[in-house]
Amino acid sequence: MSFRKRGEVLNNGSRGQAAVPGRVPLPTRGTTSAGINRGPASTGINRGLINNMRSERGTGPSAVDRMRNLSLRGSSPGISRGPTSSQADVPISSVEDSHPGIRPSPATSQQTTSTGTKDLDKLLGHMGLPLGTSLLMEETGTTEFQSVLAKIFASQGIVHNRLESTGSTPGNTHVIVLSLNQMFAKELPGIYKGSRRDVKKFKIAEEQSKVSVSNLSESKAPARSNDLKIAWRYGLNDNKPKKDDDEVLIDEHKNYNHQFDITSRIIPAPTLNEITFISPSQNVQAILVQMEQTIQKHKDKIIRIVVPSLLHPAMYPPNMFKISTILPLLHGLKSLTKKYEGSCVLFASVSSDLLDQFLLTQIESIFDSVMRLEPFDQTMLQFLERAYKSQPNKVQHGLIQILKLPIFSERGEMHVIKSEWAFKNGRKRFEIEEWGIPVEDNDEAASGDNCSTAIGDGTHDHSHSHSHSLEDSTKNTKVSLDF
Amino acid sequence: MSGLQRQDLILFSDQSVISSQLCDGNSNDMILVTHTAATLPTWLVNALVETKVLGAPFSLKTDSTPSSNAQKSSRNDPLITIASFVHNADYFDKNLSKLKIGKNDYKMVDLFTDFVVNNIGKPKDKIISDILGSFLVDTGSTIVLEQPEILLSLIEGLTSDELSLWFITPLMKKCGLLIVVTSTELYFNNTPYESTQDKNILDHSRFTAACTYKSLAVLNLKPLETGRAKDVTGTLRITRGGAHDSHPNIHVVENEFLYLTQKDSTKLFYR
Repeated sequence: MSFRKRGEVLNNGSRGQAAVPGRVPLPTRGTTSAGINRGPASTGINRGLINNMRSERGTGPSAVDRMRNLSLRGSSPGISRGPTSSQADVPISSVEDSHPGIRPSPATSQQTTSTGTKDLDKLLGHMGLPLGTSLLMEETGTTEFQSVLAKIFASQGIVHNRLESTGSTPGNTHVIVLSLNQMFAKELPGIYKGSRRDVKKFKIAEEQSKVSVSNLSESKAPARSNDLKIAWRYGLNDNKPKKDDDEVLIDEHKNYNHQFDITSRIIPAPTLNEITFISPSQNVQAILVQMEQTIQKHKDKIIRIVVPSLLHPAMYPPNMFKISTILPLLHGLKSLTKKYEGSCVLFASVSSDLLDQFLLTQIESIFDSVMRLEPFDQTMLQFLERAYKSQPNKVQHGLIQILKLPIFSERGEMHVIKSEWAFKNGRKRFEIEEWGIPVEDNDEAASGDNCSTAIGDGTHDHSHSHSHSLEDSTKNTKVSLDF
Repeated sequence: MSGLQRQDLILFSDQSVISSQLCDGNSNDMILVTHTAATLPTWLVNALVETKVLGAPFSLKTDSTPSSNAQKSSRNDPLITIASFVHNADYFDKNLSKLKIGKNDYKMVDLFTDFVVNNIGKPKDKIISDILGSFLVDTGSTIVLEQPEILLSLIEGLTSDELSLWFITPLMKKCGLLIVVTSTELYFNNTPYESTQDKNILDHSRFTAACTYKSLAVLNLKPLETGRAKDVTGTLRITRGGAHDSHPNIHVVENEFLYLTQKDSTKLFYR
């Protein structure tokens, strides 16, 4: 547990490219090419070339296919037999480096894709989830923060796909959801477009950019000079180049991740070309075969496998709760993720209170990275609300514990990090920041409603309110340290 | 940790990691490597493979490099076979190539890729015999077997006794030295498993215990009890197993090291 200053957001409060309203609008199919061309010139050219190559595929093996064949992995030796073992000889697909949804990990240079949550990407240590790896998000209690992360993960895939998907080109990402809930696709969050004020401003700017007589007469002066008529000198800066070094760096991977508004919905809703649902109520072999067929069908794309609410009693048949059924399923999913490690990532979320500790340990052992959300109980939330009375936005919703990190843990490094990070879920984003116990003001502590009640075992001792203020503050400090 | 001196890994009284007396064709031995989820044994497995292929664990040594001191075996067949239920061949290729161990220096049996799709629904004895069939009989060789206990979860109805009798014991007889890597995460949770009647938990415990009794040495990796530290990853404890007296001329040197794993290097220190 750290006692650092409270409330330092992982990315130093900067929301990056996606936070600026209107900078990364959700491109519709008609506007995708414009979105691509906005990147660095070389990337745009490469992508254009690849699109041209893709269009040649109908007539025989294209240059892209030939290039891809050069980076094949060998077939798996061992006891693998049967129809799928022969498929092991099939080239394992890998996605082009120019894919907007992948970037090299700053730690290992491995290709990585975003989880859709910028802070979670940073916490994973690779600025995302490395291709070929898996992440399990556990959650204690009865809250549903894990399902928010699962939806954002899927949504990010859909947004990546729509960056390059047009009527003729097939897109670059496919999402596979292992769930009975077909409504999952319609519940995916849309891109955050800014506050209401920002949206209004954006609409006005859009109106002004249209060609009309009134706009043309006003277009001689920069728009900024209209806002700052008195401070006219500020207008001098309008002609200066606006980009600094940081912005250039962000621009390099500007479509890598986006900011999602969980109160909005992605429009239009994902179609069958973008998302595939596989029912978990089938037998394990059928699920795995169907999953592999879907991966092979979309072999040039990034495949995001999402398992939302794993072992939810409403969606999984009773036999799935047997260790001899669920473990083979997860082992098979991991095997597929590794088999197609150039293009696949796996994200699963689970409510850990539903499972016994042994089963949970076995499930954790399958995944490359494991994190646990531990939402605060009501008394702790009340304490935080009191401590952040003037800044209600700073109230965290729980702790996020790291149990395993992709690649690092596999190397043998110890990455169990507990009680160091806290999360809060808002309309705009899912934030993760360093956890520090907030300090309650002495005046408030002396007012009788002390925090020992708030973060203790929930029993309220009335004698505290009559005790001396110094004694109260001492108790507060003690309880804080104990916590 | 900067003030402490790095140590070399030694398991046996003849100052070796894997004694030459172990794979002489006259005995079938086992070394057990146990680990937790927080301290995965990749570096230790690599070091043991390196010892078998190059003669010493150069990745853990301070004063030697493989290029200067490596003495590869003159045998045409690989001295070591690696079989894993949790990693594919690519994983070992990448890790071992960093230690200058080529694909021809070891044999890989991939028990991970498509294992479930290929074996689900088959009788348990058939699955086990198929797995056993993928290993050749060579009493001068070493087999590294990663996480065989997962079979207890993947094969319905398989018990720990069956796993030991049908798989581990016959596999031991096929090689001179069997190195079993298994997870002991079960013992690191707060749940009181000692009093449990859950069949799955009992089977996992019994399997670990059975392997310990058959082992010459047990290498246990676990994190610090005080939690995460920047300069220590965990502890490596070397203890004698149940079969420690099977070789009269050598014995296991019991020891405990602290170790630090950073990126691709591991350093050992005395505790």
